[in-house]
Amino acid sequence: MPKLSTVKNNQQIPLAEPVAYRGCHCPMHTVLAQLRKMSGLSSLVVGMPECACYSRLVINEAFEDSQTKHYTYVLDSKEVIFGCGQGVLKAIQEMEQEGVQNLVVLKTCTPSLIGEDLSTLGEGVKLKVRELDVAHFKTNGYLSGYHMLSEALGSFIEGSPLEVKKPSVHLVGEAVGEEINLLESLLVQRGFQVLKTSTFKAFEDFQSLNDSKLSICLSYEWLGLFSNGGAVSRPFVNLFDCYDLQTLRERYSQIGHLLGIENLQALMEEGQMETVRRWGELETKARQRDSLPLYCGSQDVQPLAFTYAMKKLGFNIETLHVEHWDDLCNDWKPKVLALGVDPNLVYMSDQSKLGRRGDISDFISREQVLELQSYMGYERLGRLMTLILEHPELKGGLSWR
Amino acid sequence: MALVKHKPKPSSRMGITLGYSGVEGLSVLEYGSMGHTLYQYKMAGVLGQVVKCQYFSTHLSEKDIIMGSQSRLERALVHLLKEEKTQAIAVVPSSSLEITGFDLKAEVALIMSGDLENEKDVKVFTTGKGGLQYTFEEGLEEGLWALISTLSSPRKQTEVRPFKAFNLLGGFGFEGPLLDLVATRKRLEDHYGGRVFTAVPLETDISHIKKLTTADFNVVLGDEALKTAQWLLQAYDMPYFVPSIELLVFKEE
Repeated sequence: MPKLSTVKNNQQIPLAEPVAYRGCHCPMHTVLAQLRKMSGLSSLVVGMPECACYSRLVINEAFEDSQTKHYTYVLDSKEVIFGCGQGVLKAIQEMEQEGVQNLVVLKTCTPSLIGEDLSTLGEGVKLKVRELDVAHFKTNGYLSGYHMLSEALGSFIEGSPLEVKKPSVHLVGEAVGEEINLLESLLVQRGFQVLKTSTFKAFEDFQSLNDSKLSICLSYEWLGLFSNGGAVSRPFVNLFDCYDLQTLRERYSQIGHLLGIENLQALMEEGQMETVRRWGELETKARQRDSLPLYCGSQDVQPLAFTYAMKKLGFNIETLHVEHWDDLCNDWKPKVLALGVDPNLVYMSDQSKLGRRGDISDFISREQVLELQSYMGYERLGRLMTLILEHPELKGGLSWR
Repeated sequence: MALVKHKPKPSSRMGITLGYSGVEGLSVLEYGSMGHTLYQYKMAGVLGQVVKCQYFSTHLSEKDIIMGSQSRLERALVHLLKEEKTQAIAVVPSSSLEITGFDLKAEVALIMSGDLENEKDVKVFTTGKGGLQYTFEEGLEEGLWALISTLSSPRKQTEVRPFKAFNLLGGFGFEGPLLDLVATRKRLEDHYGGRVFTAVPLETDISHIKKLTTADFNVVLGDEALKTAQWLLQAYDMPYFVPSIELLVFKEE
């Protein structure tokens, strides 16, 4: 298993198991899972009969919008050798005649393997086309599907961002709890219109991202909206990868600074003094003793940000599941290494067997992690500390061995 | 090929792997990306099939495909033979490997001829007809034949049954099991007399397949089982019958 310090990409991260039991989903799954929730963006899955058939298990909801089409293009034995570009172009032209205006072409394992370049097909048609390389052999998991789709979505948004922004803020993704409501009401009090992407049903709704002063990213799935290959910069701040007090304070300060609400961080912390006090206590205790070793097989947390926070609380994650290595992991890597933590990185394909490995799921179940992830900010920190402090074996940071 | 707007047709590979879903004690090891394997498992459920076999995948990386590496395959086989409670392993190639021309049969034979621990003498076999030019039904046919030809053995003289017994062969389609097995079993038992020994691949297990030849004859439920029935006739002198559609389809009186 490679160490964090040596890893730079997905290809270096091995499966933890010698063989995967049933396996995990590929990026095609997450692209289609997002697409089925919105109208206005069509898809064309290009690949073998398997990908065509299986993709229909995901695109399984009826659309009432006649311009939203989800089709497949199935390769034959000649195209596998000589290429499928011409055939796919004809398919796209046919979809254009049916009224499709925005299209993502999903290039699955086989066309990716034969080096097919479908990214230039948009030059032969008027509709907007983006190619997404969803080949599963390029990654272990499915997270990259979310990122690819949101990047494509971001690139479809027309025009450049306004120089003088409207007084609006986007909450991108979802969070539950009182804190998100508090943040929203503070922003409204200061005269900002708050728009939530969780309420967007159509692809056109995302156009408003260009105009707003700031986007606050609450879920990993939408992070790609702000990358767009660096061509168009939309200001954003992440809150979904905050598991420790220092990072959270920095992010709230950043939001406050960008929106001209300089005391935002203090206002958000006002009702959370108990959480702040507990965190300080745990961090102090953690500095006074050796860190306790743990595995972390959770696929639901941002792995390096979580590792960073757990180290602060006195736990040294020695083996870490990484669902997908991306730019965010590259950003967190030096911070984690600076704390003296250098975990082994793996991909744990069989999440049902985690507990048997002395995994963190011995102490914090998947349901608890999912619940933790759905909260943000100080509420999330409070819940994380409660899970650790109240567990009979982890209580007060005592050894469980 | 073509733009497919509505219902895509399944491949021969899907025929092989779906056809094995009802075989208890069988491990289906796919040498390919694991997304396929998971979808395969889910599709069997969507078609109303109770999944009794175990699906595994080696997963693949770009390096494995470019370098033609078989290390994942070897690791997977070592693990399945040593750690899993499996009685037979069917190794199936993914479409990616069909394209690279990877010779799965030869590689598996090479691995099995090495120092692999196989104390329980688990049968490991591969199937052909996974390529693009074959249909779903051809995949079903090939999978069934590979399974039975690998596992069956001649009937011993000492294996005498006090009642007539027959096997049901085939009966699986893309829409799932084509027939209601419970009702079909009863009708055929009334018609032929005797009892059904096992139904391959609809509802069976490895130990029954190994003793398939202890039954007196076979009854073919679908065209995809004809090749296997003919093979059993040649290899073991087991006769087979193809019932009429009237016998197979239940009618209200």
